[in-house]
Amino acid sequence: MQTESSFPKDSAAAQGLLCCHSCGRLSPQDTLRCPRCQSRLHIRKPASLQRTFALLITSILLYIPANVLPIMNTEFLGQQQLSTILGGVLLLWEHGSYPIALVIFIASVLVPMAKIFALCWLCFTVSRGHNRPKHLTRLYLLTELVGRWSMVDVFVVAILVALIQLGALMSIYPGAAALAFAGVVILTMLAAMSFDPRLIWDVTENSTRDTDRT
Amino acid sequence: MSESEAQVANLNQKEQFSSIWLIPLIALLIGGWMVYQHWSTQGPVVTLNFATATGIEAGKTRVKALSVDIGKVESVELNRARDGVVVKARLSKSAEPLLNTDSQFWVVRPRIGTEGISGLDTLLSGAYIQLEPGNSKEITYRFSGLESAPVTPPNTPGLRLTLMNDSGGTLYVGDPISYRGFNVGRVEATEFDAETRTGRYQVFINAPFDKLVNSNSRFWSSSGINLDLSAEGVQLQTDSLATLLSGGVSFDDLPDKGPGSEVADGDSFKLHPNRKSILEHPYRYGVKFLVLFDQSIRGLKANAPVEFRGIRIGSVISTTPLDMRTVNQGEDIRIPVMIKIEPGRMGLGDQRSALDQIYIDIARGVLSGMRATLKTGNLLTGSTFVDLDFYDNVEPAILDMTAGYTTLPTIPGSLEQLQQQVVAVLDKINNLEIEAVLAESKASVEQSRKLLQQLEKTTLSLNSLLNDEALKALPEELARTLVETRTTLRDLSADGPIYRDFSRTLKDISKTMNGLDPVLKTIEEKPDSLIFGKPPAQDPLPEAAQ
Repeated sequence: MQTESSFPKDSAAAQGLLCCHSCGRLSPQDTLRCPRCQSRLHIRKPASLQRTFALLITSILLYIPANVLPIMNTEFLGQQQLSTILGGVLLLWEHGSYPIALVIFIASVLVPMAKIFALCWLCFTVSRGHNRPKHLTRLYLLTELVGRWSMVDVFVVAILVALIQLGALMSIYPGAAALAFAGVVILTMLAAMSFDPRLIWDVTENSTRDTDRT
Repeated sequence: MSESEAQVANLNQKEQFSSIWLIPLIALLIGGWMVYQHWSTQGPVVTLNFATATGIEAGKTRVKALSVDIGKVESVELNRARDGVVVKARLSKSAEPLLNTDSQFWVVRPRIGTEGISGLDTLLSGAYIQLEPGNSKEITYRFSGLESAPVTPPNTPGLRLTLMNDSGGTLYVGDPISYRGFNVGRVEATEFDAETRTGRYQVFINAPFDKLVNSNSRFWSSSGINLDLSAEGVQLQTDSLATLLSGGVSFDDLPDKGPGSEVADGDSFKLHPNRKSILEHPYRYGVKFLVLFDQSIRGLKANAPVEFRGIRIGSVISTTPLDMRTVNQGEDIRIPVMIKIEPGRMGLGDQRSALDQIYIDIARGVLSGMRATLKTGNLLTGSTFVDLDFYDNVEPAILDMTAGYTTLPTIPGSLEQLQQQVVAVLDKINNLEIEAVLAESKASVEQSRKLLQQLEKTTLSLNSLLNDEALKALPEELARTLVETRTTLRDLSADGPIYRDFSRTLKDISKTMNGLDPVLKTIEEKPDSLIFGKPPAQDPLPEAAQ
């Protein structure tokens, strides 16, 4: 049927084979389960774009409270101080701690946003069948590379909360944003995982073939 | 079978609606619910106007009611006029019924004042805004905040009064109101009205004591020491040490009067400068009269008494009520003095209706000789008072009008007369030749002393004489002599022989004398007859023949 035309000719799918997601064994397309690891077999990750999109949208939704709500509640001599992520960055910047401000800014603002935008861009271009394979491939690699650093902020809060508990003198409690931010990071990781990079090349090769035809 | 299934899976890859979309849906629902929850539980924003924002921080400063957290300050900004700050605070929904129109907001900061130390807990926790709910049913979201805690919370039972003062005296917020030395209230607000030049003080009297205030109550400023030199002598008065330092207001009922009618919340009273002035001005109504004196009014002060035969009937309001030129159009210069006669002092009752009666009485009195004079009340201080009395042989007068004021006629004051009399007496004393009199009297004294000495000597000799034995025997001899005399006298009496002899002898003598009579005549007529003898008697001749 159309499967023939939807995959590039030199791909495994076009040649009636599919690859196991877990162990990477090639099997014929009519196989339901992988003969080696017994996991379910698919030609491509099922509903990859939908999943990625859904998770991305959820993470975007969570990103709003993560920035609006306070991530940290500092109680110093009975005085409560609530700080948001951006507020903390600005405070550090004003105090002259530029490196720390930069690190936090990059880790908790720049990286998640970059990841979300990159994945969105990938999904969008793939679903619209655009043809920029090299560019998209590099973007995907960058996403993978950068994604693992985005939990820094949550770690910072977790460590401070655990360390600074001096009772009435000074205490730090995590705010609601910490949870939301952790959700953002986890969801973007899941979104990156559910994205099937082969879709990039499927579309690319399809279109190149199409252009070859015409 | 498997082939078709794979194909179906393959085909449905793009068309099937994946269940993964539930995740963003759930996230959206949770987020939406949270937002809704936030909005629905979010209470009203109140706008508070403060003079300064000391201690108020946006996002930090709490709003509390009865120490319960009910909100937080959201923003602190300068107001449009830039003379104050506008504080916006978000309150919780449950706090909305507390926003009555008469609710009060103020900033609780550490404070040290005469009334004590407060707000120490805010030293560590920072200032917060206190909300004290009011009683009104209406809700409002715009308040003007107080700079400090109100002296009395809005719900405290009691009586709120306004005191008016036009004669100085300083009261501060928080100063105590005392009734016979007991603290029964506080000064809540002070304000000076520049237009009427009166100080207005809002005071609050706490609940059980508000019944002490009635229409006969009088308030006076009890701060400091009162040293008073007046027609009534020297008076030194102080209140308690606390009021001496911090000032305050005292009140009491008028003496010799029962408690008057009840007073309502917000009534105003006059704040007298001291307790004495209450006794001077215990009455609200009085008739004003202008009195023009031809003499010096030195010693006459405002509030000096106006008396009628020793009974006080009023007071001097002012010794310079008018410009001198408006009063004096003629040659003579007179000093205007404004007095007030109060019906309350005359048993007519302190009411407006009695004023006419006073006026009529005075007008009648003037017709029958009532005049005003200046009299000296205290010779030591020289203070004087205005005295009204009836005088005979004064020029007839009526109540006159001068510069729009009813004017009482006067006669020269007693002081001047007294002075003149005293001077005259002194002059007379001066003119007396006291030295001569003194010298004379000295000589007299000297003489009388001599006299006395002689008298003493005489007495002494008399004494020695009296003590003589012979003198003592004298009475006996005297008695004997008397007896003898008596017998002698008995002989001499008419029955006695001597008397008889004597009388016979006398008769003889008289006979003899009779016989001698013609002889003597003859001798008288013709002395030589003694020698020549008696001439012969001539014949009598008729007179016609001569």
